Amino acid sequence: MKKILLLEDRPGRQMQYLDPEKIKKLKTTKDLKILLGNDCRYMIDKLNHADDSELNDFTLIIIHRSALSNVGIDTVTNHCKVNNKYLVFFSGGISQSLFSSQSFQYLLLNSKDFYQSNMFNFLDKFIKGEIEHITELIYGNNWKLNLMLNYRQLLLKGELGRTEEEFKENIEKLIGKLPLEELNKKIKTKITLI
Amino acid sequence: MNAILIHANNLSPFFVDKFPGDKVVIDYSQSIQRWNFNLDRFLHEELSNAFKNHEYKVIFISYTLSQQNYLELTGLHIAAHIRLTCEFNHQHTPIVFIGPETPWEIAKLSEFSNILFTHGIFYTDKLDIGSIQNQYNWIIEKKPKLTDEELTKSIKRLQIIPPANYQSHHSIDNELALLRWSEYLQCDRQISEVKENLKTGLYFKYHRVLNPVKPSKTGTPYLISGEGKVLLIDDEAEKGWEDFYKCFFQYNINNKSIQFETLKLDFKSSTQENIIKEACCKVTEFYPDIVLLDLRLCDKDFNTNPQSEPKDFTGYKILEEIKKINKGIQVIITTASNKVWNYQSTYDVGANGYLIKKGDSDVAEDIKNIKHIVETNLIRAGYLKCTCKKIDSLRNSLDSGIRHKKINRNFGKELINLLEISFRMYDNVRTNEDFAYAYLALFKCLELIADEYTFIDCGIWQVVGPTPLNHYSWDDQMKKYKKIDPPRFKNDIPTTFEKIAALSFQLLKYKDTDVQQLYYSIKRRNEFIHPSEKDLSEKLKEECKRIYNHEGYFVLLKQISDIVNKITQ
Repeated sequence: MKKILLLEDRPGRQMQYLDPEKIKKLKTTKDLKILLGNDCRYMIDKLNHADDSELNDFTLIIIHRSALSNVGIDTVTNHCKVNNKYLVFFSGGISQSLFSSQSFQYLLLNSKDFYQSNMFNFLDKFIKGEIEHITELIYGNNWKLNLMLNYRQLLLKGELGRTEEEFKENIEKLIGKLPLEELNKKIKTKITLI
Repeated sequence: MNAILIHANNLSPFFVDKFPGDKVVIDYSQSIQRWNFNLDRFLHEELSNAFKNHEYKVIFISYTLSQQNYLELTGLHIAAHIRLTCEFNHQHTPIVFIGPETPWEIAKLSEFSNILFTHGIFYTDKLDIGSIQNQYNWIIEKKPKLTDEELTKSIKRLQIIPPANYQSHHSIDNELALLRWSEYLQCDRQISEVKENLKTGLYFKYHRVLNPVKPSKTGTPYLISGEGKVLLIDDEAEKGWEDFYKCFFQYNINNKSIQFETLKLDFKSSTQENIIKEACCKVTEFYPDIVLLDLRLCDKDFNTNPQSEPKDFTGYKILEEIKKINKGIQVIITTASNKVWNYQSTYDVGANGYLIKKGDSDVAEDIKNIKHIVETNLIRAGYLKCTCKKIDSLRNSLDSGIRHKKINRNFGKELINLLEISFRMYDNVRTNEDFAYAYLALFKCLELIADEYTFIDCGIWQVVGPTPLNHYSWDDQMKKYKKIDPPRFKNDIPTTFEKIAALSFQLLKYKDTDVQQLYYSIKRRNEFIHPSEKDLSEKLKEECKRIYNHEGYFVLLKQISDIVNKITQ
């Protein structure tokens, strides 16, 4: 079972995007620790003082980025880097959702995208170990399409460095080793069906 | 080929090497994990460097600038930045997107795809130099530059949505107003974050192009006439509004004629109830003369589904609470909203004015307007706060008197009603005559008291006790009131003054000086209703003039309050 920590210091925003029923459901989900408003204050203060001890139990950490100071952001980022955990930062000020897997898997999300995505479904599947790639949080069923597009980009590039080769191999573990022609067809079909 | 290729090391190195133009790598993958990473700012700076001192004829961009997350499709952002940023000098330059997808496929994958269907945008899926060169030549021949009209149309079609934390267009106006007003007073150094956002943020560039604003001159803060305390309640105070107002009031803060404070609170993490509670505590503790109050103070206030009504806004509720603390505290609503209905409903619960934070107004006029509003309301608060306090105290005395049966219930209730009516008129004063009308309304209280505590029985006027009502008249030689025995009331009916004088001496045990002051209060009213034909003494003239300002009302109120307190003891 994978455990998730969700820190949101703006109770108003949750109310804006989620109805009380959904919030209640979130709070009762096993292996999901969700701290809202003042409840997350003590943990945020700890992180802002470079204390990451509260993060140890969790595999996926989801935090409102603006709640943290730069020390807090660095503390969380380093913790996830060192322990190879998944990190999702969301914020209203982020104009475009971004993903990186440089040293660990890291998502930077717009808060509207976060709350309006298939968040519930994703959290449930993650806890059960059913999530194959974290970008499923932003792209839902199109996460595989995204990987295919990445894969095609790598194939078309031709010469790959070591990191790129590793990345390509990781993708192949999820979607298989596809020749370009077949890949093009699959991508076209997937896009057509959107 | 006078062209530039923008990529992120995600294209074939063979193609990139052979590209017969300039190349620039825009790769944010290393920077994305930095605590202060902002994509728009990053792209703006990179593009600024790329285009500096260059004038390319065609720009080639790969659809995506991510090696690990293709669907970011940030090439589209780059193109939008180029179209929206005058300083890059390439707004009219044709752009060619590179990638195996068609624009129609990209349109299904990104909400930024509108740009693909605007003027001067081309695409290619052929990554060989021959095809690129042919395309370049074709573009130079057929479509070398966008016209201004084409550029305008292209920008309109972009339809860029604001970031989630700018939850309505009012938030944009809010920031633009902050920037322009701060620039005017030359205190914009403190709002570097806001300035940076407005300069580099894609949405703000879009908004500014569609809503151009004339540059404004600079000015200096005014020295506000008057003195008092000003409290700012604004969830964006720390963003720059606190600094702006500190700058605005700086001369008054320095000479201590104005005390300025801000409600310090983490608004975003607080519930509406908590914000209201904290605001009330601060108002009670600081007891300001003016509150500059933002209407929308928490996320709930920005609900669009369903749309929040003005009466549900946090600022509206705080306004109601402030007026319960003291109606005399002047509340100025600060808002970026241009919806008239927002203001009207706040006037219904006692707002005393509003400041609209607009991004496109005449800044010098805005600053002058703030000065005028503050000065006017400092004056109003100066007399209204103490008047309110006195009326509240008087109301409590009357309620207590009714409860303990010291005064007749109907009499007490009528007196309270008359006080409310007169105060409402006093609160709404706009001219000197309005002060007089409020005075007349308040005077009804004195008449009511006189009629309640005097009566006629078997042809003889009595004071409650009962004792016969004495007739008092001013002896100018002795400089005191003397009793006229037997009473010689005109038409056998004592005037209001004669009743009040009798009450004062016989029931309330007043001194001559107190009764003389009551005489002036009554004379003020009489002179307004029936001006004398004879010349008045200088002293009387001065006393009568007080009906046209706040002093007359307050003096009369104090007298009524003293009488009531004595009666209800």
